[in-house]
Amino acid sequence: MKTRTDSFERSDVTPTEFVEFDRLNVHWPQNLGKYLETLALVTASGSTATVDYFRLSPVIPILNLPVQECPVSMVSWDATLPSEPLMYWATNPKYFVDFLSQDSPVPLKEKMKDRINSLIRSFQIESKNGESPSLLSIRDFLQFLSLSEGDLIAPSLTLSATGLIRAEWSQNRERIILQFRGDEDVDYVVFVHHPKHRNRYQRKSGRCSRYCIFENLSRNEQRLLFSE
Amino acid sequence: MRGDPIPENYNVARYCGNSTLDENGDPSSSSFSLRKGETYLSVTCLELAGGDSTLDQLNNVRISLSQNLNLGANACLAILGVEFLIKHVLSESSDQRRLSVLHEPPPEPHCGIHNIKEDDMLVEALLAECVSVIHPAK
Repeated sequence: MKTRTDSFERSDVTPTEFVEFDRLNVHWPQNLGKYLETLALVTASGSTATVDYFRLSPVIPILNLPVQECPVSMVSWDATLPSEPLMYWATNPKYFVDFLSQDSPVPLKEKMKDRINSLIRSFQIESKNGESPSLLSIRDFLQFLSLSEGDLIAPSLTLSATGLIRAEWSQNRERIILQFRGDEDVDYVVFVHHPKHRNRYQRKSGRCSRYCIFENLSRNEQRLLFSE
Repeated sequence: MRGDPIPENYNVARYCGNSTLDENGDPSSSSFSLRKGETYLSVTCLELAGGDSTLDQLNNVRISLSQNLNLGANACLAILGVEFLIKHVLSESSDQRRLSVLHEPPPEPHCGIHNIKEDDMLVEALLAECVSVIHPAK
């Protein structure tokens, strides 16, 4: 495996997104390397960890990826970093979406893939430093599609200014919007007609785990998400 | 002057990037979301942009925006009436939120919609309902 222990420049880092290794709760297939460009080793300031430490991981040898080492101070990263060394995948977002779509194929995922890739391209062009949207947010959305397989209607997708994916289902001015935060939580907004006063709206919003979305929606609200 | 309210009979334009627009090219709640660290939503006031007609005002808004942004080919300008957006959010938000539209630092037509919080998706969705018309950003 090719290794490089010298630090690389910030400009090397920004075009790709670092995805924290341990937070990607998916099964890694043997061909994962196809979807990743480099394996970046991000070490906390003052850490004595080296690339050798991570060679012990059972995953790395099968990937045959170049490893780069870079101090935390050189990474533009908006999450709170724990003090221990971390390992990140540096991946092209498009490959990442392809990978997750194939991870457990659902027709709706395939349908959404082109839209997500188009949003990623637009976001990168529009952001001042060519940043990518949150891949963890996209991961959560695609996994939500897998969980809610069935008659789920294809939502309208957009990206928030902070790069989080938002899915919106609407019918006759009633709507449900879900924002996938990338930490397995989801922000939701619901606008539905009042059951007794059709010209009035009931509005509610909140945050919950993506595994509990349906528990936070009444049957009347859930009908916006599924085809009859 | 910075911090002064914009007259309620004025209109503001919000620049909506392509990634915030839905598949039909319409603004969504994402078009009104704050970036990290932003304390207000940046908008441009049509009436303060100068020009005798709406067309002139829009062109001046584009000139003003292009000083800080690369205007996207598929991006749009969403127009909102100040009075309507304040009343709509006040009456429809769960916490009766009172937004204010204030002058911000130059260039002159730059304004801000204040009292929106980070991850305030309900208010952002209500603002998307206030769009009266959209125009190409370029």
